[in-house]
Amino acid sequence: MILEARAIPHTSVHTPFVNERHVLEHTASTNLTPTVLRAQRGDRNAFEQLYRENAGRVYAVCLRICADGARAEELTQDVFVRTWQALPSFRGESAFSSWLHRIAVNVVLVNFRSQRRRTARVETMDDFEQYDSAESSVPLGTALDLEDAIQKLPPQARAIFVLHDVEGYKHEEIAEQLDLAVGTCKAQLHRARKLLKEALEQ
Amino acid sequence: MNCNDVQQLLSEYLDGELPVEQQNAVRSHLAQCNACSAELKKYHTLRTRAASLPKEIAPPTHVWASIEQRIGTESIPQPGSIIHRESKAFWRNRLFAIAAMVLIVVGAFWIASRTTTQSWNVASIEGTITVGSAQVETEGKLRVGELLLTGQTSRARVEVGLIGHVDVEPNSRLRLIDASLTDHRLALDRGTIHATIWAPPRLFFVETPSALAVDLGCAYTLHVDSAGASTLEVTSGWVALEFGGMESIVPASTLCTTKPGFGPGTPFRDDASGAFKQALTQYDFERGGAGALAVVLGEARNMDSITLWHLLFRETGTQRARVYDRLAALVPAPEDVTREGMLNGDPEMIKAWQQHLNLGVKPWWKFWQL
Repeated sequence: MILEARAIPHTSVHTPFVNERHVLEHTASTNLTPTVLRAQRGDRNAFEQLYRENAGRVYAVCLRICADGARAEELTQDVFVRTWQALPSFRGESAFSSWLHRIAVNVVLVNFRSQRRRTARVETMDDFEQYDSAESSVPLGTALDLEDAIQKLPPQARAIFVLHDVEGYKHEEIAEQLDLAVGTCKAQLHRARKLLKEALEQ
Repeated sequence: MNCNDVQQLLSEYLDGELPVEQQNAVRSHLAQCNACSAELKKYHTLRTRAASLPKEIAPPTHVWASIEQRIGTESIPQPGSIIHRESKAFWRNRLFAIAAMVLIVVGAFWIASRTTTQSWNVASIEGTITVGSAQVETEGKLRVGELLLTGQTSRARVEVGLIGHVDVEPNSRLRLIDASLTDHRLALDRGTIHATIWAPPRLFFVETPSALAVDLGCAYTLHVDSAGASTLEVTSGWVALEFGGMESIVPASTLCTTKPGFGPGTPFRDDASGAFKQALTQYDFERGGAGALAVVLGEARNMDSITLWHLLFRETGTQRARVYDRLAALVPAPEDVTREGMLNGDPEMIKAWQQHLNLGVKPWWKFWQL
């Protein structure tokens, strides 16, 4: 399942290949801008322009979910390399930025799931207890802002909070991507909010 | 319900996710409790602030340079982008191509005069099917742009012009994209089809949400799930799966999976070990990297050479050398193929080993990554 943000107009998941005929048919579409069409034909300058216009949004979601600047840079690279590879399949059925954002979220979550499997560590509510006790002994400071507090959340709670409350995805979509029950997803969101509220109150 | 109980439920209350009775009980409590109302306000503020966080954070400036370096070796295939040297051989080939084209065009017109090209015959094998806006119990026509839908128990057969047929399993959604003589093209949004084609390669195509299946003369089963991922199983001949410059060539008795955003994975035999298949999935779709590759190589048998052959083209540097060593151990290379030559992408050696492995006639050397 590919995540669809509530803030983004619904678009078809089906993105078949583009051949020259398709390109001609869709030239009138406002989503297939001249820059996108040039990039689809292999123009790297056009692709760089698309990067300049969209990198901030991609990097933001990578950084907020993985909470690691270096990793977020790698993931941003992966997103744009994948986008370059997938460009021929973009038919302009949604805005390019929406299509790119979906790729970004999927790349980040695939990485997230992969790391979770590699460490063979399935986060449970016990992790929150550890977080609670750790937080009680680590002063967060009065100037702690929301971004800092989000970064200090346990990984899974952070991913769910960012996707739900910041990016606007639905529990059902997040749960499916993360291989979780919807109830677990909701429970982790509410617990994450509670932890954030407490951190911000300090 | 006391304050402690209510405060445990405020986040869910805010999202309207509590059962009606609990929602009402919390509302009643909030109406008369300033402390809990203040807590609710904090949750509300938190949610509002989260939604209004900046949607963009500028990445460091060096990120683009790294991307540019990576895509520098991955060009999008463009028609006519290959620069030919104007040699005698070039002109000879060109004349030959023109002559062949004339023959094809004449032949095409002859065939066109004997058949319709804007629709394909479709028949129900079982139950009632939907073709366009019509319910069909026996036979009908599937026109370009129309959908064919099968229900929970219904099945259908689509005649692919003059070159074959496609059987459509229950719960499938199939669209006819093109019915011209040189481009027989369907889009499978979901469900399962069995294709049997008796035409030269590259006349029949099936678009899926995550790859394009290109017939190279064959019979195969293609399944697309609700997430847009697909599984291809080839029963005879060869099929190419293509997406965004990536390509997997899938021979008979071999499977290949694809996922949206990733394109085609690496082909594999279904009788490979569970650990082999699991590691291959991690390698293809979960950034399994060197760890997953090591498991694949360790579990590989000589009959898994098709998988290792693809990996040879997807890896570079030391990982490619590991793939080569394992492949050469399982299926020794011909005498005129050397390790150094293969690792340097020598086209003649690639061709020689390809023939030795009986991996078809595809010009694999063109896919060698530097």
